[in-house]
Amino acid sequence: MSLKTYITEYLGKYLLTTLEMVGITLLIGAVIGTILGSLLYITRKSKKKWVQVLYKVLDFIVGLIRSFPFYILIFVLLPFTRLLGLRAMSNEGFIVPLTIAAIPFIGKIIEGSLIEVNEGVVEAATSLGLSPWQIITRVVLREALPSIVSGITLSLITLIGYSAMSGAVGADSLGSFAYNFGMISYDTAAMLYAVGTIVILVVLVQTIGNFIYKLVK
Amino acid sequence: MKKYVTFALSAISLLSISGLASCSGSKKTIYVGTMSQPGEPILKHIEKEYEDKTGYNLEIQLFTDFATPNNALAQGEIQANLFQHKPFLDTYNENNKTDLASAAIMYDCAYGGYSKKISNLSDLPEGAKITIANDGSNMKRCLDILDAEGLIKVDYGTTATADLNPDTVNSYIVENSKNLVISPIATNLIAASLDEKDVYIGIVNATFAINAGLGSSSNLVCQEQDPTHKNANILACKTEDLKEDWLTALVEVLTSKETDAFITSTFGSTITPYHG
Repeated sequence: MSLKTYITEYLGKYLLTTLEMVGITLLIGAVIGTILGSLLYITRKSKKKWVQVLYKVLDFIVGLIRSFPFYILIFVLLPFTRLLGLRAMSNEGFIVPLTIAAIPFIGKIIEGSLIEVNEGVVEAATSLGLSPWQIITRVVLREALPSIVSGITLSLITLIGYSAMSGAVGADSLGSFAYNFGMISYDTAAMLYAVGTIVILVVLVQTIGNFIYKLVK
Repeated sequence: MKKYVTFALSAISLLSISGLASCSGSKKTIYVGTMSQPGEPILKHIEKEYEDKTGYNLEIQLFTDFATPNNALAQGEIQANLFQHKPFLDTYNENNKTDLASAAIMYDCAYGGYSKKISNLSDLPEGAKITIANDGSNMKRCLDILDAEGLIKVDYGTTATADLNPDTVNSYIVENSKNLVISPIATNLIAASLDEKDVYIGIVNATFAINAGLGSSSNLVCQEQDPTHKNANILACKTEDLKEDWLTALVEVLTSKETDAFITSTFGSTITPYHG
């Protein structure tokens, strides 16, 4: 494949589907992941018995989904995606397993960021009479923001990597292009173009992530 | 923080609305599943003609492995697929209790044994390794080629093609005087496996072989003879769709003289149009 063919016929379509797939996943994953991460953070410290049980259950589910090899998760979730009324083997259908994989991943990263926040700050907020909800939203999440930003950047890059497996269920991404048109078509040039595009994309994401990190710090 | 959450939520709803809007176009979309070689270029070639003729929207969906396009078809997520031969479809139907049908016979794919180490079968050393396809119907195809060349003798006994298992490939080989090591692997890796030190022959579709730079005649050491065209590739669909007008129109453009000429000029001797 010539570079011209790649740019004029394929680049736009595959770049767009990758961005769409990964973008929607990140949005949903970041929102639910933040809630999940905060929940893990709150429940793990509690002295109440039932809250501790809740933490154990949540942590188990997170661990369970995270231990699924992503390639297997895609196929396990096909019936679930169909239940949602989506075409499971399509671009929009692939967002479902990608999101299900992203939520616990981001949740764990957020939990990690929150734990890093200085205990003293939390104690000070408690002594000021803030409610647990206020402590989380106004103090801890805000304090942890730089660390969360770098965690989300990391997640986004991981998701771009995951998106390469979309070809298994007939969804399009730069990664599946590299496999379909490069690997199994034995077209090294096509593979290099797609991988090159991914490299640029990842560098761009990292640069923007670093920039926002500096901004919030 | 509230601001961010509100922003994210509104962004999600905005995206899903725009997603829904793009789905509800007035044109009916026909999804056809295929693989990058040789199906994609052929479908791409007829895409515009089909859309102009029928007013339907044709969407080509690419899959990376043989296992999934039939699953997508059976679930109704694609309306047709083009990547397999009839024995492969029969095996799928048998194993999954589905009723997928062949809408049209499309083309013969040359299938043969390729080598980077020998140019003649008689030079094959004792204990050489041969890589073959690892799905039931194509594994049988490979073993039959080796049998026809007299390298091994195969006997499947009462085992149906659908039940052939790559893990027990040796149980189908009743005679193997050269002690050849027959190794079933994923079809798309067979050509690449020829770079391994101990792999002497890989049996694979000519399209794969030529893309992998094995096009010269000195690389081809044996070739399948298929006078009855039983391994010709087909366009598959659901049985209940056989009479649908979108399918009739699709078969018409796919089997036209013009498409045949395109196939011949693109793939040369590796893909030969044949419509039964």
